[in-house]
Amino acid sequence: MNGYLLLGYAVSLALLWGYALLLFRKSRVTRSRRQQTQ
Amino acid sequence: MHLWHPSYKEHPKSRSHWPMTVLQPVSQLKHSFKEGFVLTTHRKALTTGYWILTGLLFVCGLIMLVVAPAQTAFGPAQRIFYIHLPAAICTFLAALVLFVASVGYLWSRSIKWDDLASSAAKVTVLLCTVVLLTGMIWGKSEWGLWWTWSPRLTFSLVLWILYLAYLIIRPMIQSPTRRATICAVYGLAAFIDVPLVYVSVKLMPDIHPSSVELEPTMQLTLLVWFIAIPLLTAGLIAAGSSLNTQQRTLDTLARESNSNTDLANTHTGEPS
Repeated sequence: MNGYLLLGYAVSLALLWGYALLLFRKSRVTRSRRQQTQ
Repeated sequence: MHLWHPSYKEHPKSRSHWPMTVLQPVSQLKHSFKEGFVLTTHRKALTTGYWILTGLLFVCGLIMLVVAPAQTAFGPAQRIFYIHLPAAICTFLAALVLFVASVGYLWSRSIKWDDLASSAAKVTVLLCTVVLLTGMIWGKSEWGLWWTWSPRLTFSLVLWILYLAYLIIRPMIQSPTRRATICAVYGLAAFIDVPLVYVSVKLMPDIHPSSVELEPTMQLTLLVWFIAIPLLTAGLIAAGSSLNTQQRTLDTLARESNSNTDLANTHTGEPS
């Protein structure tokens, strides 16, 4: 496969799914904060 | 009138009369849907299923882009457009969500619209970054240069800067109401660039290709990406908006709790 193609997909998928994982982690932290508040 | 809530273990009339016994599951279901019981109970399963489906579509898309034949009119990096094109369309859609949320906030003054707008702005910047990067990589492979100041590329960069500025401005404004109002007005104004990006190729001479001939396998591959990326976009916007709402509620609760503690300490004479 072409190197540019691999670079394009690697960067795009890392950005998109990296943000999804960041949101997932933040939601877990928020959930534990909510439980502490309750 | 008999009041019943889904949090009760049994319907109060259950097993007392046969018609109610027969009708109970249906009536419970109606109550459950009405109160959002089913949604809250199964929310976790639905969310997990949604993300698994999106992930599987991405895996399918990656496999299919290897299998799909190459477009002879373009170079070997042509396959990058399977992610570039849906990401570009989803950038416009995310910007449209931000626009609608801004109108919603200015119309209703409900802060939940601002949570949605903030989340949509982040996703717009994220997708626009993907579009610019994949475009640059494709350009380098195809034309031998990373960047050229063609109308579509320039308007796309302006779009990215406008929405990035939106995200930079937000934390600078302390008052939540003032922040929401200013950002809503900004969100409406920034949307002007979206149609400019879209029509720039049609109206002005541009190096950027405006249409590509596709074989059926390529069309199918593009379709998979056209389902996967909007699903991911919608999921990211919804998750971000929900997170914003939860964080805002928690911050309000924490502030109220602190002020109550301060008040109690003032009464007892203890330092806070």
